[in-house]
Formats: sequence, C-alpha cells, structure tokens
Amino acid sequence: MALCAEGASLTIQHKTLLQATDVQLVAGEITAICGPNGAGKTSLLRVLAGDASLSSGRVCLNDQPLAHWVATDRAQTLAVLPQHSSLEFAFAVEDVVALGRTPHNSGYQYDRQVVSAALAAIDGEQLRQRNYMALSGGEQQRVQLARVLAQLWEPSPHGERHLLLDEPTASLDLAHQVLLLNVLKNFAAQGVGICVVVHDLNLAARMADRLLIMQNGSIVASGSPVEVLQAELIAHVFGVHVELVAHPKHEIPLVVL
Amino acid sequence: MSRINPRTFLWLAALALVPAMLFGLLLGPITIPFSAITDSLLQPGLRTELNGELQSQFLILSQIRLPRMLLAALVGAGLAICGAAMQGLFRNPLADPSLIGVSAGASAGASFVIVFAGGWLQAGHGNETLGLSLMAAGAFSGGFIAVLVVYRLATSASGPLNRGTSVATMLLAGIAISALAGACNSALSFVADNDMLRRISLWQMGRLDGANWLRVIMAGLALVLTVVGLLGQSKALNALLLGESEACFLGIDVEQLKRRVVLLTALCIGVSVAVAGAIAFVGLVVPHIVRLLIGPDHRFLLPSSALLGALLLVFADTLSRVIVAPAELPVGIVTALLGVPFFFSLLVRQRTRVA
Repeated sequence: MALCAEGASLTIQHKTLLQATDVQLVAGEITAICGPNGAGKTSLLRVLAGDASLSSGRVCLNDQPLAHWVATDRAQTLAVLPQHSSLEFAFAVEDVVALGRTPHNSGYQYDRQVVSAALAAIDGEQLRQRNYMALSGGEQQRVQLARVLAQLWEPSPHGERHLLLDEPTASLDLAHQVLLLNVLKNFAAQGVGICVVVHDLNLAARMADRLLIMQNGSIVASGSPVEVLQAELIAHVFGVHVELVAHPKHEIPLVVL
Repeated sequence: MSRINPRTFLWLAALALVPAMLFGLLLGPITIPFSAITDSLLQPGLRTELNGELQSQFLILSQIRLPRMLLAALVGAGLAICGAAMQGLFRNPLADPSLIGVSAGASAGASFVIVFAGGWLQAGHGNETLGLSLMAAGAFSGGFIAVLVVYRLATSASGPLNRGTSVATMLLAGIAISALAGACNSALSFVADNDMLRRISLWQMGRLDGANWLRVIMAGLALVLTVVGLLGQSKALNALLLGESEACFLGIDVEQLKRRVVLLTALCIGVSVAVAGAIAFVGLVVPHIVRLLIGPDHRFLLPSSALLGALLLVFADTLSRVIVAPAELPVGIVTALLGVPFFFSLLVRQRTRVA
C-alpha cells in the first residue's frame, strides 16, 4: 500500500520537467524532496497528485492507477497542499478548514469537531472566526494546512492515506516550523504517508525518514538523511560548498555554510 | 467577522419581498387602494356588479401589474443567482452576465431569431408561445457561446498552472464579445424592417412593460430549473473558490461542474433576455451585497442572492413607473443608474489586482 510513480515523465511545451522518475511513498513515512529552483520538485508533487497529464509512465495510489479512482474516494485518501493559495473570497477561517470536509459525508456536527481539532493542531484556535483574507501569509498557510489535515482526519476506507505538501514552511516563523514538524510526525505515526517539498536542508533532515534530492527533473540521490547529505553531493547539486557537522542531540548531520 | 446569520438573512429577505411586491402592485400611474386587492379577492361578487371602478382596478391588477411584478421578481432572482454562480465559476467578484458579454451575446441571439424567423412567425404560422420560445432559444445559444469564449480566454491566460482566472482578460474578452454582439445587432438592424427594428431595440434595453402571463410562466420555469440545478452545485462551487486543482483534490469533478454552471446560467440569462431584455448590473450588485452581509458560502449566497435580486428588481420597476409617471423609464436604466456607481467603487478597490 503506497503512492508510487513508475517511470513518470512530464513534458510541457517541449520542456521536460520530469524525466522517467520512480518514487515510492510508503505509508507512515515522511519523504522530503529538496533541490535547487526549477529542479522539478513541484512537478514531481503534481504528478503524484494526479494534477498533470504524464507524457509516459503511471502513478498508482494503493495499487490502483490514480486515473481509475472515484474522485471522492481518492480525495478521502490523498490530500494536497499547494504552494500558493488563490482563495480571494472572504470566508471565515473555520469555513476554509471545513472545505477540507467536502469529500466526506460525515455530518455537520462531526465535521465541526474535526475542524476544531485541525485548527487546534496548527495553533489556530484563536483564528477561527477571523476573515481569511485579513490574515498574514503565514497564518493563511497554517489555515490551508488545517484544511488538508481535516481532509485526511480519519482513516480512509480506501487504504492508506497520503499527504503531499509543497513548501509548507515557506512563510512560517521558527516556532510554527517546529509545530509543522510535530504535526507531520504525528500524522505519519498514524500511518499517513507524507511527502513534503522543503528548501531548508536541516529542516528536511530533521523531519524526513527519507530524503530525495532532485536536479534537472531527475532524482539524483535518495535515502536516509545521513546517507544523502554529503558535502560533495551538495556542492554538485546546489553549487555551494558547505561543512557538515554532527547534530549535538540527533543522529543527523547539520549543514553549515 | 460581524456578519448576519445566513438563515436569518434568508428569512428577512423573503419577508421583505411581501411589502415590496404589495407596493409594486399598488403604485403606478394609477394608484390603486389596498382595499381593491382585498375586495376583488375576498368578494368576487363585487366585481361582477356594476362597479366600474373596481372592475378596472381588478383588470389592471390581474392583467398588468401582477404579471409584471412577478416577472420583475423572477428575472431579478434569475439574474442575481446567475451572477453569484458566475462569480463563483470565474473565482472573481467582477464576473457579471452583462459585463462579460453574456447578456450582449444573448440579445444578439434574440435579434437573430427576430430577423430570420420573425417574418415566418408573422406570416401566420406562429403564435406567441412559439415565437418567445424561439427567441429564448436564440438568446440561450448566444449567451452560451459568449460564456464559453470568455471562460476559455480568461482561464488559459492565467498560465499553465491554471491558477485562477485573469480579471483583466475576462473583462477585455467581455468587451470584445459585447462589441461583436453589438456589431451583429447593428447588422441585423440594417436588414430588419420597421417592426423588427422596434422589437430588436427592445432587447438592448431591459424593460418589463411587455409582461404577460406567458412570459411569467417561461421565466418561472427557467428560474426553477436554474435554482434547483445551481443549489445542487453549491458545495462544489465553494470548493472551486480554492482553485481548479484544489477543487479536484477535494474530489470535485471540475469539468462537470463547469459544464453545468455554464449551461444553467446561459439558460436562465437567455430566457430572461427573451422575456425582459438585457437588464444590467443586478447580477453584479446583488451577490456583492449578500457576500458582504453573510459571507461567500454558496449554500446561502445563491438562495439569498435570488431573493435579494427579486427584491431589487421589484423595487427598481416600481421606481421606474413612479418617478416619471404617467410615462415610465425602462427598468434597465434604473438598475444601471443604481449599479454603475457601485461597480466603480468595486473597480477602485480591485484596481491593484486588475493591474
């Protein structure tokens, strides 16, 4: 039971964004994708989300090709948090989070409980009645996160759940980055397979069970953070010379400029 | 946020319709006393006696004012709910049937039918039902093509990631469509004879003075279909506000949703143009006011817009009959006078985003 891409390629207007890529996201694991700008991180995420028409290969969710899924069943099993949100209507925050309950028919009362719990999980209870349009970028990002959490809140009858997040930490302050880390770890512990695009290599190493490094539309390294984070690889991929030192508490390397 | 409870608002709007309709019935070039309504309804016997005044008042009420007021309510409700649904579809609060060329497309379609089928209809083959249905079909086709073209242009302009629709492109496409429809109208006017010309000019300026029971029934049928159809899509429309991809991730069949909304709005606008011409700005102003008061949730926005749209057009129609009595202004002028300042204020607020 997993979300996997097999030989997936994506070409848009003669530009290859993703080259015959194989990925397997395992339930209960956090996979982080790192790489320079334009390396194909978002493309890979869109392919896994079924949001792009592949030029070759296929994507399977729990052993069934994504295209064969009934839309609402899939939405109960796979949730996606895009990089930017284009919501331009003045919903109250709780209504935005409640949109995550769209694929479920679990009733108004139960949905309200899920919305409360999801807001609590992202430290957003005090935002509940606020106007979404009046929030700061970081607050909006947390609210969108609560929305996808609410979408995958309970085990799906259609197999293991998977959550894809595109740079969820981009506009979060340090405290909320740590909060996000813990929320994702919690979700993974419940058996949700998580794939997250992050720019900060140290944050990626801290949260991920598995780290993928992408360059020019291909995965160039994959493995545990300790295996992947090597000075030569970072120099090769990012063109930056870094030092690696041991984390004082955890078994991961720290990338230092 | 300080907003009104949506359910309370629905009840208030429904309640406010009652006095508005009553005033609409009683006011006009001839003011009818309230007792005329009660007398003619409760004591039909009085009418048949030699009571000439009550007799004529009853005729005015039943043959002129009542169908006209109902038509105003139905058309207003239809325009407003379509405006709300289109703004949801375009994810843009400036989408309005009259601004993005749907009404213009529809009136060009109606003119087309008047010119090319009018002669045939007048030759004695047709009756009013057939003529009006044909006109509605023409208006529907014109409106349908206009929505499709504008939607295609506005969504593809936003780039391969398809995030949102481009406001500028949408409004520009609306201008282009309106210009094209205007050109078609002019060309059709050029070949039309006098009688056709008079009828064509009717569609370009919304007016309700042609109201009769047949039109009320047609508008009623179209409105019922549209309201039932759109209310069924309200949860999906909410999800669509997040963006097309996001709605898809939430299990919404976006293509099907778009097809349904486009079809239903084209139907409703087409029929409303056929029975009352192109009445501007109701579809823009009403959903905006409702959103400010109760928020953007389509489950409440759609029915509330319908009620408030009915209220606004009944009010505007009463106004149009009273201010220059015994003559009357076409109601489209009144709604435009109310709507244009409102539209300007919206544009000023949106200026940064349009640019």
